[in-house]
Amino acid sequence: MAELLDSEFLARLDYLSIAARDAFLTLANARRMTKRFGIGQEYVDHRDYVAGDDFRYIDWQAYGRLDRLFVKVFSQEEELAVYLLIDCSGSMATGDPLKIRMAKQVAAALGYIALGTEDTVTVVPFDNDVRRRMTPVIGRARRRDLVRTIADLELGGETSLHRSMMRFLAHFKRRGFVIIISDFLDPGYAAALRLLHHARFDCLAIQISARSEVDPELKGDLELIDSESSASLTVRLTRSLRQRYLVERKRHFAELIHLGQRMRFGHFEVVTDQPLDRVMLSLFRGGRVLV
Amino acid sequence: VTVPAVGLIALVVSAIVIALYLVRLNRRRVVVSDISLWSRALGAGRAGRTGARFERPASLALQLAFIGCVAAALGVWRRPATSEQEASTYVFVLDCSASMAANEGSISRLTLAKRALTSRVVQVPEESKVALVMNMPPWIVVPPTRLRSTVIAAIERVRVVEGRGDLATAMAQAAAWGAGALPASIELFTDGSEPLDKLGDDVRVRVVGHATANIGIITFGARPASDGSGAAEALVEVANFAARKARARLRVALDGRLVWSEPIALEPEGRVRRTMRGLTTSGAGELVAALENIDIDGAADALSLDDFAYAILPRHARTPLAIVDGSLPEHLTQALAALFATETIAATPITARPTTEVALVSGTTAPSPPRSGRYLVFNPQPATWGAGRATIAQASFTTWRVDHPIMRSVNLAGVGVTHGLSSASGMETNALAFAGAQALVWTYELGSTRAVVFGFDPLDSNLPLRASFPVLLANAVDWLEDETANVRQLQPGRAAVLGTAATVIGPDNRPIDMMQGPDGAQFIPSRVGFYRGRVLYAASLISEDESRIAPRPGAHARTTRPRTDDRRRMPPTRWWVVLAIFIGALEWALYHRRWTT
Repeated sequence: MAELLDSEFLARLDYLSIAARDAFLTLANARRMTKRFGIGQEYVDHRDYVAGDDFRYIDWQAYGRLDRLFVKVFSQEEELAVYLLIDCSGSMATGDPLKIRMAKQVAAALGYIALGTEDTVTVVPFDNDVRRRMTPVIGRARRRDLVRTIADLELGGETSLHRSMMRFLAHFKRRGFVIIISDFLDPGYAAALRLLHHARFDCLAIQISARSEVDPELKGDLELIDSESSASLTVRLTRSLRQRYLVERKRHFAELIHLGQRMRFGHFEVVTDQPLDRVMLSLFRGGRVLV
Repeated sequence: VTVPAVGLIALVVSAIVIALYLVRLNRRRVVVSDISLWSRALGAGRAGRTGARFERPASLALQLAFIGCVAAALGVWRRPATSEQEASTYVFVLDCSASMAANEGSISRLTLAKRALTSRVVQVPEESKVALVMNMPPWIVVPPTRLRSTVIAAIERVRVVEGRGDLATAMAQAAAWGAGALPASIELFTDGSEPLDKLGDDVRVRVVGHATANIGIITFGARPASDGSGAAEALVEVANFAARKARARLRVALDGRLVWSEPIALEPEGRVRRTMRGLTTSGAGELVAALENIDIDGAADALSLDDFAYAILPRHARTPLAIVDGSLPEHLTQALAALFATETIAATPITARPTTEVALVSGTTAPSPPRSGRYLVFNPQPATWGAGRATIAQASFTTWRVDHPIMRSVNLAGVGVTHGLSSASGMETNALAFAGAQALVWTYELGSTRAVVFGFDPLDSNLPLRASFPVLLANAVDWLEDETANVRQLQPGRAAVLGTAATVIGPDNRPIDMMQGPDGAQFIPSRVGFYRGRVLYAASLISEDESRIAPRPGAHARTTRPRTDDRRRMPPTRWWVVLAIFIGALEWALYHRRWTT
């Protein structure tokens, strides 16, 4: 864990919590204030008694003054279900530093924050399928276990975001906040995100990119090897080809941005050579993912 | 840098470029996250260009083409005078020998050649120099110059020299201009009557004229009769060089008096020889042979210069040759007696008795030159008769002065000497024949003593076995007996050495310009006829080569027509350079320039 996130950085995360757009809460020991009314510690309002209401919440003092039965209404403190979907495909093993390392760091930091606010965190590694069904984790005491679990994730093969999301939705029925950490190079990412949207999951897409992808400095005659399929392509990398590549890349991720705006989920691109604290504290905070 | 070196360098550079090309084919392998983006980018780029797969081979081809152009530019620049495209000097050799006076229809061959030459001179690139050489004296007409008008005017002034051409000397002069640092192009304009097979392959030949009919006098001379009567006899030979039968009337006149008149009929390639004996005259002895009423089976006689021949009737018998006793082996003495009127004289005292008598001596019989007299000397002692001290062993003649009267009609090729002496350098000696740089035959003139010296014993040489031996001795005796007698029969175009300055009137009754040569005053007759000076001279064509006016077999095969536009046919260096720059720029722009967007 120490090599993934240092203690000083973790200490700075203690003051942060995840701001989900819509809360998908349970009635466990979560400390999150919701718009729902229910059994809680903080009085909010009264309402007329109806048959079936719990007698314990009848306001007898009001009954004595008004001779009518009222029931006290309290705000309900609920826990947030956070799903950390981490892309462990072969394409994440590229970049300098590796994209998978940045993905793990971001996932660990977010999981650490979520557990600190008594949210339930479920780590879901995937490549062309969901690779493991991990049990949800809750409680501040499990934070270091979570970080260690994330650090121990291993890389897999090819990516299939759509298939992985289908399997994810089949396994996890409880709605919550899905954080997908991937390079989104799989062309099926749009369909996958639509699945999550239609299943009414709140979603955050964190796109991990290597500097060599954002600003390729390669030149000359090269044989490009696909990190997942091992397919090769011989090119003479000229400036014009580089420009065309950037255009194609922009076109590829244009739908990701478009979906984010239309489906109201967050999208952030993280380049692997960016400092993690800057990513977490500035980018996320500025983007109102963390509060 | 020679042409082969340029080719070698180009090959090496090409090999390096190809090796680099092969190395670059072994591309660097780079692992990327996803290849599909690159594939789509590449596909988008390729869609707009056809033949994208040939980019690399095309690049290699352009690079090799660039190297080739640079090599070609260097090669063309450094190429010797085998081609004219890059020549800095154009040397034109114009044949103006007697055969060029032959008529081709209404104009002469020389006129045809001059027209072709003039049009050729105009085509020469402006930055190149042009020189004009004749195959007859004075050889150099125009030294290399860029003034085309000078050359063209000189071409107009060229006239036929009515003698036998000397193409070898002209080509040597032309080659001298091509032997410099910059290459030269040599072009010969001729009628092909001289052999062209010895010309170098780098000489371009333009042959003018065709096989036209001609008959002519190929031999004419007079000599004292051998019967001692004091009369003279004349020999005349007429040849028909046409492919048809020819008829003519041969007339011979002595001092204007007709002494022979005969109709002759000649088969194709036929010859007629006549000897006229008992000729005597009290006049100057002007002997003229002429062919008249020529009819070559309906065709005209194309060359009239050989229809006349001139000779001088000798006044008295040949001067006897005195052989000093013991100078020669007996069989050589007898052989000389068959050639000359000889007598044997005592070894001491050695002196040529009358001034016109020539004494033949050897180094053993005459260890030192007498104070006066004319001598033919064999095997001199060291440091005598102009000989040096160093001996020569196993030497062969390599060069000899064909322009000297003594060496006229002499061929010393293959003549060897087992040992002998070479001449010492000095004012009194004049070398005639050489073995390498050493002169083995020379003349010796000191005071009243005049000698022709052979630096070896005839028995130590194969010279007596050669046909040139009696000719050489006869020339030497002629030269020794009288400095004027030996040049009385002249050849147009060949220098006539008089020894002492004199005024000579030519056949056109105009004085001839005299020149000072190494052997004294001389002049070069340009026309046939009689030349009158202190004595009478006769100049005749008398050349079978010139009378046979049909171009030699194979002459037209060597003809190379002057190119109409050299720049268009074969790009010179600068066009190769321009092409190389263009290809280099194209290759750089297509494959190496970083385009900004």
